[in-house]
Amino acid sequence: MAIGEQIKFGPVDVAIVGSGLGGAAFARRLASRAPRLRTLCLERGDWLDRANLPAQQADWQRLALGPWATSPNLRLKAGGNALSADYPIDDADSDFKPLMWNGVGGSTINWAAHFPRLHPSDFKTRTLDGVGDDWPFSYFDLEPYYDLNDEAFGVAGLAGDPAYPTKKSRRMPPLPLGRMGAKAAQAFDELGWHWWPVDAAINTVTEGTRVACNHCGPCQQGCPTGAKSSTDLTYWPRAIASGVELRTRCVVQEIVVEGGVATGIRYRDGAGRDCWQPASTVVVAGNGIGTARLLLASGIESPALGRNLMFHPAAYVRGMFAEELDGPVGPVGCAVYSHEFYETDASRGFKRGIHLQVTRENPLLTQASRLEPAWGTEAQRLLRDEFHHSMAVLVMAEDLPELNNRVTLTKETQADGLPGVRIEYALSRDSRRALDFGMARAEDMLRAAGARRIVRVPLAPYTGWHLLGTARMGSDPATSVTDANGCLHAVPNVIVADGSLFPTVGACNPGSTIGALALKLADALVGAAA
Amino acid sequence: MSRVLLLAILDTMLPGDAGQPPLPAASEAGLELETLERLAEPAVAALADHDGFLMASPADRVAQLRIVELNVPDAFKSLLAEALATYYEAPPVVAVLGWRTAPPQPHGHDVAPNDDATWRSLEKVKARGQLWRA
Repeated sequence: MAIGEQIKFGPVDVAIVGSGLGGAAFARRLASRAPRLRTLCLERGDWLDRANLPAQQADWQRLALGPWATSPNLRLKAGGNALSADYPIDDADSDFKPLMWNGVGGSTINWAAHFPRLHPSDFKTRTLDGVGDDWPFSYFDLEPYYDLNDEAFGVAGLAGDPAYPTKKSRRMPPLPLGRMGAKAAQAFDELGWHWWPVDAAINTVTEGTRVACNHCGPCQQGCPTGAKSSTDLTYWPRAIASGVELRTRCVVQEIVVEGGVATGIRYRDGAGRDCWQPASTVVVAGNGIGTARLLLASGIESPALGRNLMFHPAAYVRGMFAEELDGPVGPVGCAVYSHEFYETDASRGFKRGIHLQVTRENPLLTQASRLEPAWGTEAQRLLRDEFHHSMAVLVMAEDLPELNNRVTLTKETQADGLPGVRIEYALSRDSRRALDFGMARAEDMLRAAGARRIVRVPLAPYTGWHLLGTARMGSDPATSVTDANGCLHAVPNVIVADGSLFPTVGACNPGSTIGALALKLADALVGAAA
Repeated sequence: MSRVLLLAILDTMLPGDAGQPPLPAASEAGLELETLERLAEPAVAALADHDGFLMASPADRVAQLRIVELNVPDAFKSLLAEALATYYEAPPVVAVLGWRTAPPQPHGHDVAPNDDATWRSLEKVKARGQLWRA
């Protein structure tokens, strides 16, 4: 082969772009339901090296703010992370900064593994509340896939939460609440509010080669023990054993479309070579930014493509207590939550609701880096006051779809060969009202718990984990990008299988729903091919 | 740049306290100074009067450093970030704040098991019946 010549691979039936939650679940389900299909996944990053993660190193706190930060932009600024093939995202005009991981497992590598489901009402916001849009199917249509996804991830939690339809018993007991979680639970109880221990995709007992969590703390820099579920540990080993090929360090440049039909994928491999992979079906699962970027870069036209970007607006209220609490111990996002205010109550002045989640304390350096004032005697007094003595309540609101919140391409070509990507996102007035309402309720809880000082963080920019809505499902090609099976209206043999599909997003973490949705879409593809 | 001046700047940023146990000032925490010395160069250059800074009271040093922060914000931010990282990773500082100096793994941490009274309070939540809408 001459230098510069394109490498051509033999055709596959299904080529998946991205090995995160959606891509992995799709691949595994396809391999299980249709083992004769030749299925390939192209992943731009690499496998995690669990022997060399920050939690095992003396400078782990510094690494968490640099090459192991949750923001790809911060990682790039710190010189990059060899395992996550990051690309810069112009987020100057966005109230929230996108967080993700671009390696095998996608953002399940650095997620908190908080694993709630959406509520049934989240699937029909237009019908129930006159806002947003209904999903093309119901919670109960997705429920069997939630159960399958739970089984794959191994959920620690407690069945019986009346905020949800009855869920199957969780396979493992809940994570310990610790002093902080128990104090929050007591305060919720005194107020007569709903609370429940979180569902977490984290082992609380050892299963096979994956040990029980030992509460080390920095989940968001990768889990060294494998106690925290991520798709490199759950779906991928099984998918690969079933015959799915996973090629790493392959940056997809374009989905090639001829006459309204995708014929394959052009990508750049780890050696920088141009490769051609023919495929009968292309599945894109690169998250709400990466998926829109690739589809737009491939020249796919759809009025709603890239629009309706949703994050879940987030704020924090932090309470400082006289007594010592746990400090930065245990899975970062997983203690207890309250859905007392999750469902719509028109008297609050906004539609839809909020999720309150009691989260663990940040590491010492992270806390020191976020003080105001940032240095001097007062900064050190504040740190002494709060370290080991604070409780943070995350207030997360439902984001509703808005056309002006969007992903677009820039005119520059980035180092990965693709056009640059830019996001625009402005917090809506309703979201602001919801966050303000939620902060007031969080403050009520912290006071009931005995906080002696309370600090509000009205907007938390570095919470942009949930990248949703930019290739939404629906029946009208003018207002949606795909049909109910994730197939593009414009190019039906291209399927989207990630959070981009969400028409609305509820007010809680989407991972569980992304996995369930991808399983459902894989079944739809198998059904269509039968 | 003199080490004395660098340490005076760092002590202004991180003066320590007289709590129990006392938090050491930056100059007493045994910090590795090489990187800080390099990052401090723009701040030192922006400091109008080096001798005056060294002779100044703690309050005056804060005022002078605030002017530096305004004049060279990016350089000051880089210096502060490195100073915080170096200081709050230093074992004497971490120990004073009641934290473990060893990395989180392989030992992890102990978290108290959930107590029965907490779980019993969930019965009240359950007794409210269905909270979801469809």
